Formats: sequence, C-alpha cells, structure tokens
Amino acid sequence: MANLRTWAGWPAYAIVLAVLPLVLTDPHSRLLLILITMYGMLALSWNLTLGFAGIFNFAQIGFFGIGAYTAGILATQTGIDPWLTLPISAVSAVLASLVAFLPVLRLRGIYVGLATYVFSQLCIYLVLGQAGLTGGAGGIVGIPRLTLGETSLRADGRIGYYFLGAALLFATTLLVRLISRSTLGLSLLAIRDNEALATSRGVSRVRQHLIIFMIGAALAGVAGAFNTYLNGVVSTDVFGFGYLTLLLSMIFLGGSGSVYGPIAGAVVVTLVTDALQDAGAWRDVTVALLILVVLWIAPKGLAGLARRAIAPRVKENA
Amino acid sequence: MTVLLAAEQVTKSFGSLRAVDGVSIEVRQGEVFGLAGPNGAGKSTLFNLLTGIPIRPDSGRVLLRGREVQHRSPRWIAKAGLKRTFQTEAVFESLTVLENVRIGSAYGGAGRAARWNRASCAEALEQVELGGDPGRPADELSLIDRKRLMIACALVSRPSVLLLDEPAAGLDPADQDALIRLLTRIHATGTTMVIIEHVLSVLEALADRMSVLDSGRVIVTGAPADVLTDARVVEAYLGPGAAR
Repeated sequence: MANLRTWAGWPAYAIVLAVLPLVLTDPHSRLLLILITMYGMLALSWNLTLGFAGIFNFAQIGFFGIGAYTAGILATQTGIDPWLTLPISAVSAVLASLVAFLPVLRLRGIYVGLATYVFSQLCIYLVLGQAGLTGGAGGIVGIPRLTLGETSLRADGRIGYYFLGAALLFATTLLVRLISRSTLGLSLLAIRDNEALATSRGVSRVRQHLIIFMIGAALAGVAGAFNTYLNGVVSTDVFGFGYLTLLLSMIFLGGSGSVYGPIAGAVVVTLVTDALQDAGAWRDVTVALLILVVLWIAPKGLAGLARRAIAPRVKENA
Repeated sequence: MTVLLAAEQVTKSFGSLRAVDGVSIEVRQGEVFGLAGPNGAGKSTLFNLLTGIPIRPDSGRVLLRGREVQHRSPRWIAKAGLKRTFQTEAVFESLTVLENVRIGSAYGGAGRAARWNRASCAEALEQVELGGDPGRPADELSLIDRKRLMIACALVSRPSVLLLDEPAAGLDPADQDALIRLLTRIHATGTTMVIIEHVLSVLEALADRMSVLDSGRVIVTGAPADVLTDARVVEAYLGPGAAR
C-alpha cells in the first residue's frame, strides 16, 4: 500500500509533462518550458552533490560546459550521429569529474568550493587555448539540429526539443528519487550528518562521494549536449557565472537536499527571470530578494514549505 | 580462551603529552572487558587507537583475531569486525531509526557489496527494544533511545568485538538499570564487549575483567571486585593518601 502511495504521483507527473506543450502553444511559452526541463535536470543533477552529499561542488557548471562542447565538437567535426553525442557527452563529463574530484579527496567544506570553482574556470582557458577545435572566443556555430527521421526537433514550435527535455527531466527525477532512498543515498546523508560515525559503520566517504560526483557529472553532461542542440551554438558562456548563479538560485529556492525542490525552483526562477526580462539589474535584485524571503520563511526552500503544508513529517520506509 | 582483541605496548603522544603510554590489554572471546579511570586517563584515546578513528598509535601493535590492524584504515578495521559507539549519542539525524541500522547492515559487513539485510535490521532493533516504530526520525529519539540505536547500528553486522564508549553517560539511575539489562542480554548472545565507563556500578554489574588507566598507563587489571578496592585505583580517583 505504501509503495502504491509512493509511486502514484509518477503517472500524474508524466501526464502533466506531456500535456503542458499542448496547452502552451506559442513559441515563447514553449521555449520557457524547454528551458525549465533543462534547468530542472541540471539543478537535480547538481543537488545530488551539493544537497544530498553536502559537497561544495562548483564543478557542475564545468561538467555542463564539457558536455556542451563535446556535443558541439563531435557534431561539427566528425560524421557521428548527433544522437550518439548525448551519451558520449555524459562519458566525457564523467571523465572530467575524475579530475575535478581530486580536491574532494583531501579538502573539506569551502576549500572544495574554491578548488572546484577554479576547475570550471580553467575549462574556459582550455577552450580558449584550443581554438582550432573549440572555435576559441567565437565558439562553435552551425551545429546540426537533432532530427527524428526526416522531422527536425525544431518543427512545430520546437516541440521535439520539449519532449526530449521532458523525457530527460522525467528520467532524471526518477533516478534522483531512486538514489535518495537507496543505500547509496542514505550513506551520503549519513556521511553529511557524521563522517566519523559513518566511517565506523564501514562507509567509505571517498568511494560514495566519487560515485555521486560521477552520476551528477553524467547528467550535467547530457544537459550540456541538449543545450548545444537547442541553441545550435556553443560558447564559453556555458561555463559562466550566469548559469552558476541561476542554478544555485533554483536549488536553494526549491530546497537543497530535497528530491523535487530543484524542479520547483527551476520553474519559479525561469518564469520570474523571464517576466522581469526588461527590468535590467532589478531582475537579479528581485530574484535575490525572492530567495532571501523564501529562505527566511522556510530554510528548506519551497520543498520545506510544501512538506509543512501537506504533512507534519512523513518518512516512507517501504 | 581465544584472545579476540589485544593492544600491545600501544603509545600515543600529542606534543609533549603522552596520552596513552605503553598500554597493553587483552580481550577474550565472549567476555565483557571494562576500562575505567579518571578524566584524561586516556580511555577514549585508546578506543580511537584501536579503531583508527581518527588517529593511529605512534608505536605498539593492535591485534584483531591475531592480525595486526594498527596500520589499517578505520573502515577496514570496522569491516573486519571491530565496531564502536561514541561518547556523544551519535546517530544519523537525517535518517529514520530503520535507515540508521540499514547503514550498519549495508556497509558494516566484510564484503564490498552494499547490501542490507532487512531481517537482521529488524532483529537488531528488537534486540535493543526499538522495533516498535522503525520509521521514526532518529532526531526525535530520547537520550536512552539514541544510545539503543547507536548500539543496534553497531550490532547489526554481528561484530567480533563491540566497543562502547561511556554508554551510561547522562542517564538517570532508572535508564542506567535499563541499559545494564540491555547489555546483559546482548552479552548473553555471545557478543564480546569492551566498555569504557565512569559509572562504576555499570562495570561492577557487567564486566568479567577490567583495567583502570591513569595518566595514559594501565595501573591495575583484574576482576572488578578486586580492582575497584585496589589502593592504587582509589588514589587515582581521589588523590594521594586517600586509600589510607
């Protein structure tokens, strides 16, 4: 019975994702929906390390960018099927995560944040230094679009990109949900709560953190490739501070460490920033104020608010 | 009788302070071994050295089932069967009661695969009388129940030796009695235990043998009735001349 209750929301979630583009048909709304799916996926992937494991990982934006460039380079410079570049982007981001993980071996807390942020910034220099391959400061343009048979995913107000994004978001949400209640997910919370106690129970911090780092990187790599095909171009902006602050806003507003919070954060932040598009600097100020107010009322973000509203405290163990 | 855990001339210094100074103890299979001594005597440091958390001996050997473990990682030692509790009532507060024990079951065993055994978890919780509400958040537990949970987490992987660091600390006399009954039941299942305790009545009730440490050294080892009346022990606790 508990299992039924736990999983009953998933068909509803799938139906909402499937119906939304049929209700919102104008191109601008469609684009917003696509961005929400991509940001949702990226925020969920980042939340695995930042929220569940409590690692100050700022390399996630680097994995996103590496995925984006992997797809861009392969699609323009090799004859490879663009669809194949999505899993390959995941692999290249995972390989990069092995390098970005090195500081996590020895450092703790904010020092991990500094070292992983430096990793993301070094990616920019790597891209600029390899201009022959990456297009340097000009980026890569003319990237072929994804097609399904003869039909471009851009057709009918980019509906193909929406459904691809929605499928990726659904799969990512399901994966994060499964991880959160798995022994791996519980061990991450255990390490975050009390590392010495976790070690004394046989848990390896390095091993568990490496696993979750790699999973998060793979998802971010796919999101990066998706972003490349959606825009048709890729530049060093993908490693930029803009994406970083936008995604952090989504995670903290939604509720770091919650399964569904980052999706809510992605929806709210995407819509608010779009509504305030003409507000200039006031846009960022408004988003910042919104986050401060929500975190002041509910330190666990929108997910914490929802949890308080629905039930005092429910923990499923079935 | 088989010696499960032994410290041989174990020494640890912090700067000029010799916290543990050539300590040797032997814990035999099936016994409850007590460790007592005034504050700062080196008892918890000795536990840390035995389990490698978070320090290692400067010299001396730690033997688990005859095998040297002092250079092994804390995780290796834990998986080899030496499980401990901490002075503070450490539980994983983000997890439920069952999830806490699940961590012990999944990672505490000798194998690499993190598989948990639901039946063992239920059994461990029953053993410490926490079977009633396994879905309860661990951060809502009372002090005695946190201690029970900490013990269940260590017990679930069937350790060779269970090290308990001041399990009675902070408990009122009624809860101390409940703890003694609990540990007696656990001991009756054949679990070998080492207990650090300031509440000497707990050691009198439970320990088969015990050592008293003072200034990092073992000053006496023997049966609790003999040790606790030993003049050196009385002096260690109450000061020179107190035994007269």
